[in-house]
Amino acid sequence: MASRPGAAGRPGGRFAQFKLVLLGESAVGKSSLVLRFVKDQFDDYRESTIGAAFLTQTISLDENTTVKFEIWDTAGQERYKSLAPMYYRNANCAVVVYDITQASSLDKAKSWVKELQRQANENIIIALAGNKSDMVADSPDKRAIETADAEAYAREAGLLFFETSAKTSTNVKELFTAIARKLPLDQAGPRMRQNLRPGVDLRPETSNTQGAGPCSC
Amino acid sequence: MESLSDTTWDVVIAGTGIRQSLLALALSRSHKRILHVDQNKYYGGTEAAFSLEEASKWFDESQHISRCALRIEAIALWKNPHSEGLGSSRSYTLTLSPQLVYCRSAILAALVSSRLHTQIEFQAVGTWWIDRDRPVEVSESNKQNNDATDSHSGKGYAVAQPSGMLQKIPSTREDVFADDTLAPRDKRALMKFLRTVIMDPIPDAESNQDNPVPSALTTLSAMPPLLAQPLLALSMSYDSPGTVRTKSVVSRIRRHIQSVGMFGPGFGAVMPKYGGGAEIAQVACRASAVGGAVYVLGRGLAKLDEPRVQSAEAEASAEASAEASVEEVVRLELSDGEEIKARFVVGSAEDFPTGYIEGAAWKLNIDLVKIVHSISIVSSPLEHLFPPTAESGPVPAGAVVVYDGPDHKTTSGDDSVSKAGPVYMVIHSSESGECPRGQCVIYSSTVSSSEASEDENVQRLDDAIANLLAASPLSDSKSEVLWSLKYRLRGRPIDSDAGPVMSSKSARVMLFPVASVDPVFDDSILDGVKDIWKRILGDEVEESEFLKFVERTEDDEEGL
Ligand SMILES: Cc1cc2nc3c(=O)[nH]c(=O)nc-3n(C[C@H](O)[C@H](O)[C@H](O)COP(=O)(O)OP(=O)(O)OC[C@H]3O[C@@H](n4cnc5c(N)ncnc54)[C@H](O)[C@@H]3O)c2cc1C
Ligand SMILES: Nc1nc2c(ncn2[C@@H]2O[C@H](COP(=O)(O)OP(=O)(O)OP(=O)(O)O)[C@@H](O)[C@H]2O)c(=O)[nH]1
Ligand SMILES: [Mg+2]
Repeated sequence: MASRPGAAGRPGGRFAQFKLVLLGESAVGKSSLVLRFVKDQFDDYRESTIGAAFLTQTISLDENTTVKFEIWDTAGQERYKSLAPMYYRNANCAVVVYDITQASSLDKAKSWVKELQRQANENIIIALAGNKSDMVADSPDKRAIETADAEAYAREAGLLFFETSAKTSTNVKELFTAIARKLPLDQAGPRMRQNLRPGVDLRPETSNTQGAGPCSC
Repeated sequence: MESLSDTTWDVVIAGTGIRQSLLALALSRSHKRILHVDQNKYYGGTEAAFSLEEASKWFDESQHISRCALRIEAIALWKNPHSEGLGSSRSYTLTLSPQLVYCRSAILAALVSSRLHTQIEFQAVGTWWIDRDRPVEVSESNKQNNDATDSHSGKGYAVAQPSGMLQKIPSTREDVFADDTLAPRDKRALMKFLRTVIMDPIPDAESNQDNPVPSALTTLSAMPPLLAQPLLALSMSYDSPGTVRTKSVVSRIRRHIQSVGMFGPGFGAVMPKYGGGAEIAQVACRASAVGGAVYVLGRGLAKLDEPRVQSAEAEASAEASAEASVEEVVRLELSDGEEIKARFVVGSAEDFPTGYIEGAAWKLNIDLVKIVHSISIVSSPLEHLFPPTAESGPVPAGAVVVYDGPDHKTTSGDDSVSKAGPVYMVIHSSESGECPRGQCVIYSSTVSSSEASEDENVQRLDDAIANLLAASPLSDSKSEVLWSLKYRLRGRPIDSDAGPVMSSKSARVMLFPVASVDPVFDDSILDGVKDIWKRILGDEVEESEFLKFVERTEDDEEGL
């Protein structure tokens, strides 16, 4: 799909908005990663996501570059599989999550990557996140997927790759920042601003009161 | 995996078209257990949006699925053999639902009150143009659908007269005032019309014979055809100029004129980015999923077994017994054989098993009309069609060109000609997200006249586009159609009565009223959705709560 990031001019700064979708098997920690990233919280007993949830988070890459993520956290349970196309439609970036202590979850992640590469926006940026890295810190034998193996796969498939922990927040900020850096920000820069075409505001009375009155005929 | 049969669903919605999706949205905060299925492997049903590959798959499949034929039937898929200009499949989002949305449309208010508008980007539809009669010769051997080469343009049309035939249709008094092509007398006539059309309906104008103010309709009828024709085009109705003289036309023109300026200077209609109605439908489903609805693609309704309707006495005695607490449910079989139970089942005719509609003795005895449509990818951006709406207004992503070209010539060669209806071409620039930069997409449609052969009806669409491309300025000299898909849409005539929602004897199975063929978003869709929503929720809701949702506060956001 020919999706392009939204961008709004801000004097002296760059501001871009991107749609991000999280995919992966149930219980790998998608919602936990989002909760950590958005609210810096962690919850040992999270309920499985029903359907999907929507959140936003803004990060600053440097003094004058701000990136806003519109995040769609999808439900990993098989019964919600049909939902995914609605969420990755027009998405600029995706985080595909697996659990480094569950071998099957990487297979599922690979099938999501395949589906994204076949169906989603052609320029979509995909990051692979091996979550729950805290669990192998104390007991290395719990690890089911070697870092090197996942890394090799990610390189081959052209994905960003991180091992993360939503619990300790290891690499969570890094993951989203790396995505933000890889997004086509130049387009959101001065060049983009020139032919900026903001959409129509359906509630003009709440934002600008002049210039939009009814026609005089 | 928990199977679908373990739950007694409150509502099973079949099909993910715009109406079903709006119903899903309306129910999204009702805490009902909702299962939303679609027989297709994609969202949107007859309002879907496709990449090139998906479009050709849809074309191939629709050749042998008879069920879809109720509303929409593919006619032809064509790829320009002489051009390499097509982008990659997924750089296109081609929609079966290119309806314009007037700023006054109830759907926009509903999207705002349901807080969905923040998730959809609306773009302005700017100028309405009229492309007047121009000699067009089509040599039989060189129609678009065959591969014969041609020295001119590859399309086999005689190059039309120089441009200048494309005229902006004035729709405000400022427009009329600024138009130097109009004679003073014509300006006065137009001004008068614009004045009367927004006053109509004058209270009791009909009954008050002494009323000296002529109605807009009278004024319109009295106008010379050359002036009246462009105004008729603002109505976006398919009737041919000879046959339109109805009240509906006047109210449609009024809607156009009154919408201008509502959301910004210089435009009166909008379109959702990324595929029009398809985008609205998907965003609505997304909100429904956030509310917990379960979505299943690729599975439709295969069988319905309704609860037997009890006679009055049986009901009365049952009420006394414990049996009364056993809820009556519809037993359904999905196309993969899974059996499920639901309290209510809702869909449109094409979502029900073949034969069910007839079996239920629902009378769909409405005169349906047929409209032929084409979706054409054009090799140039046709920038001249998208002037800024106003000095400070947004750059439009849409434009409308109305072609009133020559009538059908009967194939027999004699000169008994029928007056054909206008061809509407809605042009989406690449800003719509539907095609790569440097190209545009033309959605054209015209009534499938019974007096002409189907080939001739379809040919009229090609003529209109050829004319438009021939009239584009020199900088766009390489304008050609790269790809096109043609289909036929069947539905209620524009502005005809939608009729009531139909429901089965048990009142558990409900059918949306037949959709109209309106090229403008039809607000009566919302009436059908609201009716069904109210039947499902009953006393739990007030009518006034339809699609009104409060903003979620931080406190509500537990659960994520
Ligand atoms: C269980 C749950 C937890 C959530 N947690 C968060 C969170 O932590 N942070 C966050 O920013 N957002 C969260 N959301 C999403 C949030 O409700 C909004 O969708 C989002 O914040 C946009 O807010 P809004 O005011 O623009 O629109 P909203 O008023 O939320 O409405 C946007 C559209 O989404 C639909 N919608 C939104 N929420 C629901 C719902 N609960 N049930 C049915 N339909 C709904 C509505 O139909 C509406 O049309 C959560 C949603 C759910 C269901
Ligand atoms: N130790 C540890 N546990 C985690 C981590 N991330 C998530 N969890 C736990 O794993 C469980 C599942 O996490 P969720 O975030 O709900 O998983 P999900 O991928 O959103 O699951 P679905 O919503 O069903 O698709 C929860 O009990 C979390 O507390 C992590 O980094 N480390
Ligand atoms: Mg989750």
